[in-house]
Amino acid sequence: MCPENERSIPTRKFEPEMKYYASSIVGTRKYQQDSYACIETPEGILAVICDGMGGLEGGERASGLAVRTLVEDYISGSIANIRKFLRNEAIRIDSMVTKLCDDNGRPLGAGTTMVAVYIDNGCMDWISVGDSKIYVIRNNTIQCIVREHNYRMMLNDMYMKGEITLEQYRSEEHKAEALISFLGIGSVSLIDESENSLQLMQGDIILLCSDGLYKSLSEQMILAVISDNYFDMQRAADELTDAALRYSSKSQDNTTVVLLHYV
Amino acid sequence: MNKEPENYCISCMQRIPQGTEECCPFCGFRKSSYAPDEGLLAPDTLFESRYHVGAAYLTDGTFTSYAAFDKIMKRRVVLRVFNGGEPGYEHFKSRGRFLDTYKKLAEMGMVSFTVVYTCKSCEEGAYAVCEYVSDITLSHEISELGRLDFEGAKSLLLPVIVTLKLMHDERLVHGCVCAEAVRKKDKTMVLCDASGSAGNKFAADDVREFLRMFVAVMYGSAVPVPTEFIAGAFSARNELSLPQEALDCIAAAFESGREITADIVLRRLYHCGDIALGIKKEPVRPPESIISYAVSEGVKVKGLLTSLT
Repeated sequence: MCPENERSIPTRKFEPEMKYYASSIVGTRKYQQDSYACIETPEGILAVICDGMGGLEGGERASGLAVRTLVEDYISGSIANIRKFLRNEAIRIDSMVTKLCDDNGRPLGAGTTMVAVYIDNGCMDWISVGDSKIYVIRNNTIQCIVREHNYRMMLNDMYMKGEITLEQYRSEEHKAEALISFLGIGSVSLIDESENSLQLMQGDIILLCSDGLYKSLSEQMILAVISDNYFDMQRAADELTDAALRYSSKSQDNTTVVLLHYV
Repeated sequence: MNKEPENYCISCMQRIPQGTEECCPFCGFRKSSYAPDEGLLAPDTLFESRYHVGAAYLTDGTFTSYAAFDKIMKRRVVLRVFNGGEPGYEHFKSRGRFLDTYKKLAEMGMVSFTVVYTCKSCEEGAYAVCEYVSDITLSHEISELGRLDFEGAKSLLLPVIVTLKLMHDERLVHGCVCAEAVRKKDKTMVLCDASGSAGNKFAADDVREFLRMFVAVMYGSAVPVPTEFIAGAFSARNELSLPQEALDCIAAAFESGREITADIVLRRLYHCGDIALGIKKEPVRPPESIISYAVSEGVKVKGLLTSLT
């Protein structure tokens, strides 16, 4: 045997890394009330999308304030427990948004949703308030891991428990989209969060989005767009927002997506 | 010149059977509907003993374009006959420019410009014979294809931009760079028109039309939009105009002596179009405040992607 063949082949441990991409469109709305950020530090990656609501610039201010506060607190805080940090942030930002005022000192009455994930060494934690979503895409399947905090969720719950009849359900259905939890509601309590960290697998894609995306595109379409552009995730992000606009029936809400690819 | 005994449809230049002269069985064109202006070549004229002349479809101060049939090569062609006005110094000068233009175009043999078969002096002054290209315009294609994504728009129009750049380098300008003036040839788009330029700049109107062409490709049907601003309104929604940045970008690309910037121009335009239509938000630099805040906190930011300003 040739001596060269006996040599051990030097191996290098392959560490998957997290890459992140974003795309945001105004849609057919007058204002962009979505805000987002992905910040990577040596400790990990924090990604957040907030979808603001409220007249004129109220929504924009609320979502901007929420994203900025979360990012700045992430930078300044030494985080021992990420889940606790995210929950405390939601409560703190909720309080800050309720205090937002216009130039004349009158309360803005603005609010914002928030979805945020924190990924460290392939372990993901998350939080959600409102109807923005977080999807996990794994092995060509897509799974939403948060609930839409709207009146429909409440109606479904009440109907399942037998507290309301089908007729009552239907009579209330026109209000189904109304949010029952958001930052700025004051004393926010309905919060979706991770109970345990989710261990990501190589190839996993995490999608954060505002409701403009999933109200235009089905999960199947979202999955198709991502798999069609698997090797160019920025293009996938852009395609998602473009497709949301293309497939919207009439008007298109602000739409923001953040893709995190564990490769 | 004499009248041709053979029957051709003067619009599509296909040979048609006796008795169908009035209404072409191929394209349905009615001969009686065509009334050429005074001074133009009459239909069925045999020009230079070779080209069976059809209907004139474009005329401007410099030349008239006719549908024609090349009897020798047995192919449909576009015949451009110089009509530079009254004989005199100006006539002589513009005739020379016409000949120079088509000679250059023939030599350059650009992919996205119709083939120029020949250009010659003649009794009328000068003429050029060009490849016949279908009547399908970019405008028509847009209505068929709908909005194209960036890659689609790029593959369709990048060769056209490169051609325009090459033409411009040769001091040639395209009369009207709009979706109606760019035609389909096989699966590509080609320009069909050019003239010599005294200066080396696109006129403001050309730039405007040029921009509109791209925006049309990327944002749907090329419905002419009334221009309400000096910079031009390029949106089918008729309420938005492209930012000045886009105009500056085009102007810079074609007025600078840099390397081919067509790709960059198109990408930039696409982006500007998105912003103009409110589809995309203007990209912003990561806010300095967050970076400096991180520095003050001793945190190393490895990456930041945000909508915050």
